[in-house]
Amino acid sequence: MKLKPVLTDEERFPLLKDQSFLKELRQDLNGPRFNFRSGDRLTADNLEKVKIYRQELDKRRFWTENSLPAWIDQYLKWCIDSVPAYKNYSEKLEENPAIRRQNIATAPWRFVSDECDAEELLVYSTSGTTGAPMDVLFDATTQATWIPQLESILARDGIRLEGGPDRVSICLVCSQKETLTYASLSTYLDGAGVLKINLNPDEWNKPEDRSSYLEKHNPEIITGDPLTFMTLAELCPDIRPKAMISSAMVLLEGTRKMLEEKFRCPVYDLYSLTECRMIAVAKKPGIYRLVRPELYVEILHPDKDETVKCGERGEITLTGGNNPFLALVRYRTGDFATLRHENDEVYLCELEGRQPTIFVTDENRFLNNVDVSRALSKFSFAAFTLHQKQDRSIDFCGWGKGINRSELKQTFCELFGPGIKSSISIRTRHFPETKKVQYTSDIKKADFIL
Amino acid sequence: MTKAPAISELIHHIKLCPLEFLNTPQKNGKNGVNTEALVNDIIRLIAHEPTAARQIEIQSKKLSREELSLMQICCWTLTHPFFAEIDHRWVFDFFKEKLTDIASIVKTADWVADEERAEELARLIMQCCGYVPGGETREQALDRFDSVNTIKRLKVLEESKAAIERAREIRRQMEEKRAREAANVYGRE
Repeated sequence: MKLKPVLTDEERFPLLKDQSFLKELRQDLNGPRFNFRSGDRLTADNLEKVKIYRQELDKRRFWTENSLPAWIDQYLKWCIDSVPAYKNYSEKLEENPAIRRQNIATAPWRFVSDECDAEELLVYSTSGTTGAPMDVLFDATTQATWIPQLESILARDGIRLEGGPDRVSICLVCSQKETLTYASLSTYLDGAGVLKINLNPDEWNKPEDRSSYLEKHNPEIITGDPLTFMTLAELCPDIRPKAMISSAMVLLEGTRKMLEEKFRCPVYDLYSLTECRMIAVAKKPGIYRLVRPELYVEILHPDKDETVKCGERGEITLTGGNNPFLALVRYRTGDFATLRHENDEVYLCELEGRQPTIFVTDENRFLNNVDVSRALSKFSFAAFTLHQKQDRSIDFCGWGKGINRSELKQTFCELFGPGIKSSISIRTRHFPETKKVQYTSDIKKADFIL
Repeated sequence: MTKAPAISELIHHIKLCPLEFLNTPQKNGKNGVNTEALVNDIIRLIAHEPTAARQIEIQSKKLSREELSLMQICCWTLTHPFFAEIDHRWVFDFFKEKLTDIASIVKTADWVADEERAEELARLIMQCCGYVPGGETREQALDRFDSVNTIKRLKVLEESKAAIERAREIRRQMEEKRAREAANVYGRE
């Protein structure tokens, strides 16, 4: 679905009267050909809520081992009273059944609190990289609280987001065939610039503009996924970010070290989900510190809705958060880990997140699996697996009916280039029992960088 | 303690309601049953005070015909011998407060003609007098009353109608917003 920018800049930034910096970012001669527009849409009320959220993040403490957070009773009562999906739930957390992605995907409106003004809802449609596509509902306030969450992570290491007009604070870097790109501002950061850019050279007037633009605006924080960061490292712009935030897939230790050396800043591996945004952050391999005291994490047995003993492995399950348009009670994430309490902090260990999968085109360019998901979404597959071999050829197996095989072949040709051989198998029975979408590759980072 | 009748016995008793109790109540000076007199007679009967003065005032001018009719049916119900064996003081609140809402939503004739409404009336009366029908536990009695409770059922229907309307509104907003710009994204998920 092609998204449409429909607002005016006044509607995008109701509180920011001076938008000259926005124009500068958009009209920069070295800038990309931005294909979209976006704002944070914060009104005075929204902004106040975001600021209160920031204060509460600092004030609230994490729950201790074998106990529940102090806020959970009130939260459950609120869910029972105002969220249709939980109307018949018990006030005792442990007596309630867990829910899964499928429950939300089927009827997202059942998870919206009756207190919410439906007019304010916003929709984000996930591409379904790890499961079926899903509409995630949220509002401008919830979306903007990403920044206070980031601030609280950075503050522990003495890093401060300065913001303010005339500087870029956050740059989300992508490296995809196609994605929405825009220059924007953050009301919460006093009008600081926010960029979403794509390193794909086709989106720039000259390939070298990518570095020039980044160097000129030298963002305080760079966000993105590990594969994009590898492309950024190759490009090696002379920028001095205060930190880099990697998410969407696991950041391998080698990649982190390389990035830290190149950009001379800490690189954080963020465990986050579209359904609730940030959950935990890691600065060293495999140990993720929970970052939100208002998001309760329990580890459930894979086959029954009971918590495992502390230290045992199970499914990461979430209750709480700050999105009244998607209230979560015992939401099974599909990710597995163990939980550890230490010095008033809570850690997820042995987290088995999404592993980065390296796909390359016949021109030896990275192909982000988000591009693959998006391109394949026009076919009605119930599930599929895609594997790229060392010789670059691909094996695809999809489960679905009425698939046009030649159209599918053409899609792979457009994605990977005409020089890549593809073997396609379409099945109508025996669906895979694990993930609905699975990407694997024999190509290692080292092979590619050569 | 006095043994309460089974609910089936009370239902049977209600369904035998004589025509005299079903006649149109007297209202605005027109001919009909004097509901106030009937209610007071029944109170004298179950209180074993045949010569007592009027104990309850029924302002027929202010009450609906349906409520007055329901009071008359209740008077018949209270002629069941059980009610003469228990403390009668519960009836004052019962006649004053418990019948107004329900009378306005159930057709008068249904209280005696419809099995489920007769059960609802029997259970309402038993709940108000503080006894559990014979052969039932308190939980069973509550549960069964819920299952025939018209006010509760209408409330549930109203709630589900509101819930359906709310879901429709959210879905409409989703359809509208799905293809439109939302708000800044700051990191990948």
